[in-house]
Amino acid sequence: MVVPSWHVEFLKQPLSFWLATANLANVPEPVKCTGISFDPSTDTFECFVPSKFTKKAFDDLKENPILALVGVELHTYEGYQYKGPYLSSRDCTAEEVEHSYTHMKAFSEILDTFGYSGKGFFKAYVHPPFVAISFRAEQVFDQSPKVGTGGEIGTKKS
Amino acid sequence: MNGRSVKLEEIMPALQGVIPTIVATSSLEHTPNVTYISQVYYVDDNHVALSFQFFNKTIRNVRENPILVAIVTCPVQYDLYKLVLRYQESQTSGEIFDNMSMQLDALAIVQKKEAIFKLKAADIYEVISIESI
Repeated sequence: MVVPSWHVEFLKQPLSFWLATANLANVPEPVKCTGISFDPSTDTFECFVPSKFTKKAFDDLKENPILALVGVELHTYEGYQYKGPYLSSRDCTAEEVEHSYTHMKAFSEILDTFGYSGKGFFKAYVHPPFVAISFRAEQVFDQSPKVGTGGEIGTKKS
Repeated sequence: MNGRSVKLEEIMPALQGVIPTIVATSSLEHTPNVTYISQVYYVDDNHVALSFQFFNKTIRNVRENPILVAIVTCPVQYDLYKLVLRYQESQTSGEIFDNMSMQLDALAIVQKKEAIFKLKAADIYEVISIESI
């Protein structure tokens, strides 16, 4: 497996998640992700995203089916980036929508402790309906801010 | 993300470094990258400067493919703006660098992360478009 086993617990925290795509003209697109589920047996992520933010991302994926996902812990800035091929997308189930609300509520409560308005962030990012975008991680990078950041810590063996 | 276009001076509160900015880049091989940066600094009506703290994938990407997309957040209304930017040059001295360095030092003291918040350069970008999302 590419994703280190201890990431399973790390990824269950109320992290800040963002996806990114890029088209063949190399114009990138960051997309807010309101929650994820991760299957360590297949290195597969399902990323829950408000449909409102996905138009360019889906256009990009049609021509360049690669995704990047970053997850950052807000107190320590510990973060990891996962990259790999796009697999599929579909509407979120009721359970996944509930997961997004729970995740973003917990995330907003952390922001409150920094003096930001958690409610403000919640209002900015949480817009139903949500879609689930799946991809398989084939590379993992340490994204924590430090000298030497960006080092690859996992890669698919060909 | 579709929305109305806006001018840089209309989003000044989002450029004060209060809320970290998310940035996406792409390699020449079309592989996206996404991360946070500490600062987007207003230079003039058509330019911003981004803090360059580490030689990471974002920096490598913009040196070979100059397009970067940033999401900035207004700390008052929590409005989101998408900025499409084109990298122009890197400055390691001068007024912009000094001002950004000073802001970053202040942030470092507040967050007790002096080693992390050390400015290597102020990267200057032309603003191609801004939209409210």
